[in-house]
Amino acid sequence: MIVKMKKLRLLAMKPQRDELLRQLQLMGCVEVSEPEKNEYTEGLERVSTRLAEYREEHRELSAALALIDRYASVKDGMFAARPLAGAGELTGGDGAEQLRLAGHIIELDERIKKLSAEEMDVKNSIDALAPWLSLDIPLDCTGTKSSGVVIGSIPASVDIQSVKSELASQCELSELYEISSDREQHCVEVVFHRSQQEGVMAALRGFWFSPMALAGRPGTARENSDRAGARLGEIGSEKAALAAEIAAEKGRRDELKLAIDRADGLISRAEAADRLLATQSTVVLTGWVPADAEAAHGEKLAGFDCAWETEDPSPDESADVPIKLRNNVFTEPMTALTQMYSLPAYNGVDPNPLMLPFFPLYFGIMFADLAYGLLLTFGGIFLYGKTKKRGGTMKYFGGMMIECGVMASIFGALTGGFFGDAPTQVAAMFGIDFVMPALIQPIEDPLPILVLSLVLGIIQMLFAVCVNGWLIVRDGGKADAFWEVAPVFVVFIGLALGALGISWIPEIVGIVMVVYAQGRASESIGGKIGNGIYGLYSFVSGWFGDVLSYSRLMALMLSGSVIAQVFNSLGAMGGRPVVFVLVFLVGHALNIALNLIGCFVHALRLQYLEYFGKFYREGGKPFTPLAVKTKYVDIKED
Amino acid sequence: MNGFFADFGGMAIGLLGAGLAAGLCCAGSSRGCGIAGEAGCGLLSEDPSSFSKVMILQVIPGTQGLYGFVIWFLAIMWMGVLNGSAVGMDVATGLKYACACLPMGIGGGISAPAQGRVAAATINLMAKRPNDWFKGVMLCVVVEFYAILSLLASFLMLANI
Repeated sequence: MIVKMKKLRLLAMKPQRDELLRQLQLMGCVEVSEPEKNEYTEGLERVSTRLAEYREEHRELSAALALIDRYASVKDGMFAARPLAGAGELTGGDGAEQLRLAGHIIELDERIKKLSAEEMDVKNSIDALAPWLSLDIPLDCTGTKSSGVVIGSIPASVDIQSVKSELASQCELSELYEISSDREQHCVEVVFHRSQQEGVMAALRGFWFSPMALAGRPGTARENSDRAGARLGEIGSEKAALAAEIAAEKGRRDELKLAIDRADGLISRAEAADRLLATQSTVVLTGWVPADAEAAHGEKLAGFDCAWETEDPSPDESADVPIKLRNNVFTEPMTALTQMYSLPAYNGVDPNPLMLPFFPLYFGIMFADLAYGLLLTFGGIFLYGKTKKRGGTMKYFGGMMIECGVMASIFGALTGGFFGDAPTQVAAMFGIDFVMPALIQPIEDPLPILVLSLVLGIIQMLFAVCVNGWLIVRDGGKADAFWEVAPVFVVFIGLALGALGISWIPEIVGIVMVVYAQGRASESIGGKIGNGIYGLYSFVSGWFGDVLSYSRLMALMLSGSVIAQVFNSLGAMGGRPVVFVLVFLVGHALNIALNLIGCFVHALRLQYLEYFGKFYREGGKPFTPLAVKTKYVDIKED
Repeated sequence: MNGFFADFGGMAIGLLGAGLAAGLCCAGSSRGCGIAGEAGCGLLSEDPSSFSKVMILQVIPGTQGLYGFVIWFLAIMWMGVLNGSAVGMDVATGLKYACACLPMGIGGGISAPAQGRVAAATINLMAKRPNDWFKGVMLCVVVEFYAILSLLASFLMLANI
């Protein structure tokens, strides 16, 4: 059901603002909304908050946790137990110690990053020195008083002999030594008399000579390379030490997790504070509180110097009222489906209980296999147990899997499916004749399933029509409700009577009622008839299509069992148990995966399109109270 | 010649139909998986961590190939190819088997590439909104339904020959 909401206006003293918000957060039943604009709030201003600061803290803490996880290679499984923390702990304390830790870890990581960059440079220089290792003069040597020397490279495409002969012919007081050659370049050293420096350089330029990039460093290439190698080793051990220092903090992960969730709470509080208006010494809060939480809320506020009032939302405001759904343990899992569609409007109806008999039933009819159903049920129990405390979508899905799995097991038992016809095939391998007892044989005689599907569809849609009628009555439109509901029933009862050969008169009455109901809103008599006839056409085609749409229940039931049977007979073909087990495992895993998605989507489609289309009023905003929400820790019951 | 047709004509026509069911569906599935795979590599080049989701999307258009294989298998099993009793099947019966296989071949062969395009579009959707992956999967499954109907049409005809 949709929880009744009340609009809250609260005036409090400015110094008490933060503590008030903290208490509201602990209670978790007030949604702070954007301030109203009216004559009373005119001229009031928003108060500054530390929102940006808290967000930065949250970012730092999260980054630090991610760094520890990375360097210590720890990963929390999806269902790993989370640390426990009291709600008081999550909303109080300053977390300065954890922030210092986070800052320290981020700084260590920065140093690792710098070392990595240096490592890259050193590696590059070792690569660059490699061709020069046999050069025996220091790299910064430029010659003696009368002789000069240059080192550098010439592209490999140039023939080194032609360089030598060119040099010899142009400047005889020079000598070229080839240090090394590879696919890209010749590394050369040229010694010359200072008087011929110009000529030598000009000749070398003609061969695209380029001086060595590292020329000018003290020591020989070998010495430089050895130094770089030693530095590489140092960098490696420094990085390892820093990484170990970060990893050593893994014992404080829980502390960081708590701090992250606390920072998250601070952010929500600051966001709420951002929506307050203030005078010199007071703040104004507007928001929503569930009607049943009002008393508890009042008790909590008694400790503060504040004034407050609540009122029921007026009909014009109903679009703004946030939606909170309250359900019991059976109807709650359907919340996942409702959220996926759209929450109901405040003047609508909670669809969760209305979907309950139908969704799992349809899923069960389509999935229909005892073994598959049991697997799904146990999977659901596992998921539900693991996520029970945490709540949220996964818990809803766990509950849904249990309900759907039980239904699938029932229909599996009725149709004699246990991994398709696996018992029959296995028995045949040992020469025994065995068939699972079954009430319905969908493959031999699918017609009863088709009829069942269509009848279920008609029942569900007639139910939807009644719900719609009830909603209209609740809104005060008794006559409208009659004309929405009655013609549909008369048509279907008339159809049944006619088909049974009793009389077609009720059917004709029903058709006339449909024409009148569809045309009654028009002004002129011509409009009434025209709209009525058109309405009759849409009525017939719409209902025809909708009812036939339920034939998918039969289609998916059959396709699932046919594929299961084919895998069984494929496996049993050679009569070798090992082959059977292999084909069985792969085949049924595939079939289960295919059918899970298929049956879910098609059961869902019948709800969304055929069912919701007839009564659902959507468009509600979710109720998001200021509350303690956690991502990393579980809240301890105090 | 007449003797040859009498002995093998029916079986050959039946095999042609069964072969088309498997062949067309597998061809369609390979196209569908190919389209989705290409799009998937594009996303993986940016975000390697979404591999498992991309792979699930890529295999969705592969189911038609499986359905085609199922019909092919049932057809040759019921025709008696596996135990040799299909030799001597008359041409009319062979034609019945061939016709019964047609819905699967056509429906599967055409729906798989269409589904592949939805899968590829879902991968593009994931690039922008990683959390809406399942919505895309649901859209793919809508296309799947028509392959299932083709499978059933072929199956019910085969089962009642």
